[in-house]
Amino acid sequence: MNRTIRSTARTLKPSKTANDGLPVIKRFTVEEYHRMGEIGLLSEADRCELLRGLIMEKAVINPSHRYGLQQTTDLLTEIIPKPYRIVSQGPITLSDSEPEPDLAVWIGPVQRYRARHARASEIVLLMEVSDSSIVYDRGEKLQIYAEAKIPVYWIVNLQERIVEVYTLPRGGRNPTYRSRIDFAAGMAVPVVVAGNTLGTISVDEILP
Amino acid sequence: MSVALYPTIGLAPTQTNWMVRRFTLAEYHTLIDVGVLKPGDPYELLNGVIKFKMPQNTPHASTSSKLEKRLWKMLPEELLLRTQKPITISSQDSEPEPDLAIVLGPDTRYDDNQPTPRDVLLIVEVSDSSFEEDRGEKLQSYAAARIPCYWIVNLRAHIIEVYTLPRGGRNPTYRSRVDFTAGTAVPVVIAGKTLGTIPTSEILP
Repeated sequence: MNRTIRSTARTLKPSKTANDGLPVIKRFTVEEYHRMGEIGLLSEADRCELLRGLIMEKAVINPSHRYGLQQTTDLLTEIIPKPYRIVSQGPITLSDSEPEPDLAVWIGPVQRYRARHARASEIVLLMEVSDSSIVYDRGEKLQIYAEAKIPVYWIVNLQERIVEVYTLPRGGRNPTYRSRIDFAAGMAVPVVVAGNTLGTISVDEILP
Repeated sequence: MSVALYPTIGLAPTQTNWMVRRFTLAEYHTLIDVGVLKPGDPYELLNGVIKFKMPQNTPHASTSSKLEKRLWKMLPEELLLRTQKPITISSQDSEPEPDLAIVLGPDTRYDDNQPTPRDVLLIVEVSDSSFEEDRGEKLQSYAAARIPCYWIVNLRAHIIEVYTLPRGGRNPTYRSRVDFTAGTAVPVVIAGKTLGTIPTSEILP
């Protein structure tokens, strides 16, 4: 079941010109993105995230997405002790991106994050609930998280009704996770935080 | 599986535009005012998307400057020629910076505001690497804004394409396109009056 995955994502290094010579979209730095928030140009109502310098609009959350997220949040809260914090749809600050994963486990104490979001080294687990966004979550998002060396990345795949668990991030030119294990209905997903298995979550409880 | 809904960000921008957060003209101007975008940065706003402008290669710069000189000579006192300057199209959140534009004078007219489509009589884009966009999104944008005349100096095909009779609606376009090839001369028609002609051989490399 444990198998190495091939990276399906394209290289997304910030580039000024596309291969086909078309003018490309202006990319913003994390600082510029924050500035837009400070001056009120971007607000919470915008539902955006910064990915590789591009400000992308997020998809609307449908009921099954919300259900999967809510269930996982509740179940993880029972398993994961303080000072870890479970943050739903909160931004995390990476080098050229500020994604808002559906769920993240941050290293506490929470007072650390009064004036800033968590950075890559402060995150032990990320999760995206994926419906129509599966190509993206397995592509660009996976690449961004692997490059940031987020140790564990879960995709709750609503279409195929599995939970994909990615571990062993690898950086370099084609960042990816060296291990992917899929958990189907009837199986239990181990919750591994900083190398310790703290418990399990049953796939049936997460999927709607 | 809906691939189109979440295309890879690395794809051509036209395919990802709708996913990218678009900016209004006011927001675009704010970004300039607060210094996130610096005046003179090689960007322009097209349909709410801030796009990178290709740096001008040698043939592009040379053609542009040849055309500029010839157009200046023909212009009556009440008209102005502007190069790589913004035109504000508020109806579509666009502020393109065409290579050349003939606009209504006097020059003090634009002390406080950039020209709007009503002020513009002719737009010229010198086109090499930007060809797909010049004939696609830019042409649509200019037609929708009812810019009466649009030239594409096509450095790849060695022709000058002259578009007139803009049509708005769902699929904005120009109803007339006339191509001027080597050995012909392009008439410079402004508001129905022919100011002169420019032989293509003098412009194209």
